[in-house]
Amino acid sequence: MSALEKKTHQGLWRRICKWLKPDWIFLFLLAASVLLLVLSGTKTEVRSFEPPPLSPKLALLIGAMIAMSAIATFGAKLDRKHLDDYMFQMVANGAVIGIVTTLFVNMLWEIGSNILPPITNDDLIAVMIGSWSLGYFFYRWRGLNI
Amino acid sequence: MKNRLKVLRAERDWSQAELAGRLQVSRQSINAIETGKYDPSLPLAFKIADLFEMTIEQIFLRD
Repeated sequence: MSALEKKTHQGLWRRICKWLKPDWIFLFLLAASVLLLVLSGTKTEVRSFEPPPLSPKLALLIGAMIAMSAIATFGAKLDRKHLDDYMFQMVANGAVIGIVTTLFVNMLWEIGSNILPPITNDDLIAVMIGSWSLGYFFYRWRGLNI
Repeated sequence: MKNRLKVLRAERDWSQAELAGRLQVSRQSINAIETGKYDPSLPLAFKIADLFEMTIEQIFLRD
């Protein structure tokens, strides 16, 4: 690769990195969560009446939880390495907002299940992604020391 | 936490981008530290102190 090609390649890479910074990723995620909420309103969730036996399901869920947690921990380590500290803290704090908001929304819907329209798994995932993004932008706007 | 980063940077006539480059962080990080929106991690605080050849306490002050 010639020096000019290398320079052009580096410039392009820098431009892509500049575009892919968390602001753009979370803007995309926010839009995706709104789209998910809109789309989930058009379908109804079908639940089987006969639940599967408890023990295999429990074992599968615990296994998946442990494996996914390990993968997520490794992913967070990579994020921390490649994002700078400020960005990482905003992403991590935004994730806390996302989790807490999802838990509260779920709780609210459980309490008001008689009067509120039914909520699907897709709705909850959309709420989680959306509130994570909003949490990120809130910290971006007000700072981490609020 | 208060800090003297903006003053120290101005004394050296560095832009935020220049300081960010020297510390290998984003310009947004420098801006957030200067405006009090973010307190840097200990490794970054040490890096800043090393760059300005000062102690952390001389740059970052308690409220």
